[in-house]
Amino acid sequence: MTCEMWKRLLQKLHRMNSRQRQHGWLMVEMVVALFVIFTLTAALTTITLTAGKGNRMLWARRQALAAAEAQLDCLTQSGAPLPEAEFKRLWPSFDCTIEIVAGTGSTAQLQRAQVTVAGRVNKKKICVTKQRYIIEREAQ
Amino acid sequence: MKPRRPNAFLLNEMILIIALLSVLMMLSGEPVRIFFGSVLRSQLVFSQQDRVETLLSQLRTHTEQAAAVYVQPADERLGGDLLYLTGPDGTVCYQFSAGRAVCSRGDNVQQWDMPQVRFDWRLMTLPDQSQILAITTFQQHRRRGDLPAFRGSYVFVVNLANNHSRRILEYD
Repeated sequence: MTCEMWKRLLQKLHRMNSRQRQHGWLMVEMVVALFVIFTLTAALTTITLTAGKGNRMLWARRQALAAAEAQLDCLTQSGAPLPEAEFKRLWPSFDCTIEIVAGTGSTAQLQRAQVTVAGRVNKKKICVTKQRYIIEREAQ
Repeated sequence: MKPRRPNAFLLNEMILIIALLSVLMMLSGEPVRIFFGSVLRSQLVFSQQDRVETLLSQLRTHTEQAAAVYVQPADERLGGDLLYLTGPDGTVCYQFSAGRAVCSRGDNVQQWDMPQVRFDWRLMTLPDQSQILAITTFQQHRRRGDLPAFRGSYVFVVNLANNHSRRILEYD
């Protein structure tokens, strides 16, 4: 490549750069871009917080299910539920009600235990009901 | 003749943009911090909770199959009390300490490392002499201090697997 060709190439590049410098953002474009970024950030955060709330509700529901399962297991094994104080220590935000009724028809020899665990998480009510047929303690 | 537009920002435009940027950064700083903090914390919570679930699932099986259970007090320095469960496949020993749970059966040792998890467990005897194992897990992560620890409680009934009335019919 000759010296003349180098000169021409450099001049061309210089011209290109000069032209590019003229293409800046307008203020209105900057303002719009900033507002778009801000809106997206706000939306993303809202979604994250909502998802977090949903997860907390799911976790609370799992805990309520664990509590109901524990009560049914205790009823099955010993005929009596967990002591009230122990239940409150393990699941302080939940209350439990137990209903035991005699089975009917093909389950006449059994008792139907129904455990309802209810509580409030994030101002929303959670209620889980589980039932199980158990053999009467006297019959064992 | 149409006046030529200047190539760069004017001073008042720059001042306006800087003022706008600072206001927006002030408003969006907290949400951005919450977002990235939540994402990182969630990953940590879920990975450790996964290990906790695996451990508890195995502990439930061992407890429900156990014919005999006893606790051997141990120094906290050595990792806390030892829980022995004797089932059809022999005796299994569990030890829970802050950030770690160990299950050993003879030379076979399983270990779960969960740095942010703490266990609180107790073996209780019900009035009819049935035994239950109540275990609470706490996952604590650094945060502004306005949220309690990620807490979960479970109860496993000893020897439940041999109870004939267990889950004859169950539905939600």
